[in-house]
Amino acid sequence: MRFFLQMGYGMLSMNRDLLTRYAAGADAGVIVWPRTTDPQQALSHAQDVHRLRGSVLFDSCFYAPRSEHARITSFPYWPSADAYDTTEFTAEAGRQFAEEAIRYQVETLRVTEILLPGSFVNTIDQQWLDTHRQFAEAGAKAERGGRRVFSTVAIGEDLIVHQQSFDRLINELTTFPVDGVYFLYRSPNGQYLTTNDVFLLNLLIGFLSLSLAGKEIIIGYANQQDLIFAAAGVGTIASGNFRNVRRFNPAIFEEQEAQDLSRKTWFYDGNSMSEFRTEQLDIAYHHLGMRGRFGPRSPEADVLLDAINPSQADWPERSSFMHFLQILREQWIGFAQVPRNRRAAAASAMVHLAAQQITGYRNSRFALGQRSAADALPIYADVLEQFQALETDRIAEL
Amino acid sequence: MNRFEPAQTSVQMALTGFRSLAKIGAGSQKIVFRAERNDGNVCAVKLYPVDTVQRGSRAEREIQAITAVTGPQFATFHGMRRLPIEGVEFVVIEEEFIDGDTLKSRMSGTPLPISFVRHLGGQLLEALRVIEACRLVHRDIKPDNVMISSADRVVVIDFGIVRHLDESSLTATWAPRGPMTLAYAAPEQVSNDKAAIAIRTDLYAMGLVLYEAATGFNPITTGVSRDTIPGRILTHSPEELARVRPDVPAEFSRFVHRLVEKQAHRRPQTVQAARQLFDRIQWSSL
Ligand SMILES: Nc1ncnc2c1ncn2[C@@H]1O[C@H](COP(=O)(O)OP(=O)(O)OP(=O)(O)O)[C@@H](O)[C@H]1O
Ligand SMILES: [Mg+2]
Repeated sequence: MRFFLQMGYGMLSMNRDLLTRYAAGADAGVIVWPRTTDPQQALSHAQDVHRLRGSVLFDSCFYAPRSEHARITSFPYWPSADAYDTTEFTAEAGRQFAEEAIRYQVETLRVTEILLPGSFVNTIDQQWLDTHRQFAEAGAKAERGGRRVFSTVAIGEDLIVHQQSFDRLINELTTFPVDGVYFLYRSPNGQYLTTNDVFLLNLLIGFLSLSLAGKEIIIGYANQQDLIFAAAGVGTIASGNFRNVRRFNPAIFEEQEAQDLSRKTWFYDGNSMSEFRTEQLDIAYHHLGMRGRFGPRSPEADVLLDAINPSQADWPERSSFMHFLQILREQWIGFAQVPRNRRAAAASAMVHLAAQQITGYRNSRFALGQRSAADALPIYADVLEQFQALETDRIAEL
Repeated sequence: MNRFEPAQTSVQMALTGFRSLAKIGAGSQKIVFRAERNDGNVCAVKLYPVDTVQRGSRAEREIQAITAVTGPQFATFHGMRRLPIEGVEFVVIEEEFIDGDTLKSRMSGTPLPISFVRHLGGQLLEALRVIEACRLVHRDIKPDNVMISSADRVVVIDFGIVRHLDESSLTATWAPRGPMTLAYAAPEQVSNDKAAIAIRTDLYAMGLVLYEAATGFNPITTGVSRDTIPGRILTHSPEELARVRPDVPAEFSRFVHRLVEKQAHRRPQTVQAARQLFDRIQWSSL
């Protein structure tokens, strides 16, 4: 099990602190990206992570090939407008682009593993499949010093819930000549924690097939929802500070956007897989007698959880992010203790415990607020149960 | 074979060194003979008109495959030469003659003993292991293309529509589907999902062959009209094998159903993965 950080240049010091704390080894690293960095910053960021012994990966953010995002398009591998015709690459241009993107990662950033470029799709189409297979073949042929290669698969909710399309995608991906897949999915209705059971079940089944085909899976832009995918053999998740890097949304790669809006600070209550505002904790402590019920703790969280009034505690945004990334990592890495073919049961148990925790909060009259997992957890539980029933034999083979 | 076919006496004269020749088959791209050498040894001789063996033709790929696969599950390749017969150039392949029946005639609509089905499964897996290692997909595994010789040796023949994974497809993209035998074709062959075709396509056909060997019938084609078959390949799940033939081990039934999964990604993806499942079957519980 590996846990990667997925943040921009501005978060360098946080990455440094977290990697130091993780005593970074093979199971920790950073996925550098161009969205909030220029090429020079990306390089120094990568060097820094190398010094801290973390894995360095690079997400080329090719989700919107016609992007007008000034930073993203300023990177040396970015294709010129004429390489990309109205819909897809011409064969030659596609191969060249993939080679450029690989060369940049290998020679300039000296990445640990290669993430091939990938554009976003929400309906299956043969051209997209052909282009991405071509990228994969370029990766298989490239000089890469033994580095593993991952196809980037960035897809939307419509493709995932449409059974035939999604089967076709997985049928093809299982034969791509790559070591794994860097998987980014956009949730139905932009939900942070989705309540669409078909969507989640299809992802679980698809991930299981990819795992059994020997493909390692990295889920990018992940949040606590993605813990359930340990059930299907997923080995790595990557997550970040703001919510826009904990949930994949291709729109943010199309053009530069204004600063992130939400400036409230939150507390990730891993026990219930939910996030609460510090003011909610005040009420819980003073009126509902719930001191001691939230957790687990991280080095950051002590000041908050031990405060008389949590909302007055020194709990800056940075602490809230550090805490989230610490606890999410612990929850994810915890699956490493469980054999692969028992992780579905372990994920089920985790979800049931979180749901029980929510029930306990409700019984204490705690108002769960807008970022609780209360609606999603019963869905996760059902989906995991269905997954285990449908896939008993294949799960045993993990 | 609706192209020029030389008279048998002309073939025998041109080949030299054979005292008798008997035609045993004529497919779309070749004629097959049982041929007895003057020293009494018997071999199989296959004639391909040279103009069909162009670079990149199916016949050329068949010959490449015949020379690539080795082991007891295949007819041993003896040699290849070019020969004019009645003024037409032929490519002549000599290979081991398999003295036996096809699995099709062995089955003839009756279930085979479980011990034989088990043996067949193990041997087909070994054949597919070799095929996979050569980066090939046979694409036409079926009872007519499996021969059973003395001491129940299992031999896979007929690489007439073999696919080389590293070479471009010979089926035009606009063609509705590539070559296949419908009764054993996998869903990805019927829907012409070329990119999905891999060794798992042969594993599917092998699953149907084992189902048929155990029950005596092909669950896709039996008792239905021919025009419904493509649809059934895509949607009809065979009745549970363990119900049709209750004395097979439950794991064997599950194994077969894993091989005939409609979605290619749900099957074992490699022969080794299939082999692991097969080796876990408890046959002793019989
Ligand atoms: N090495 C061999 N030893 C014995 N018999 C063989 C051998 N090779 C082929 N045959 C026989 O010749 C028949 C035709 O061979 P094969 O299947 O390779 O050709 P084909 O072109 O596919 O013909 P068909 O369309 O009849 O299947 C086989 O069904 C088998 O009976
Ligand atoms: Mg044949």
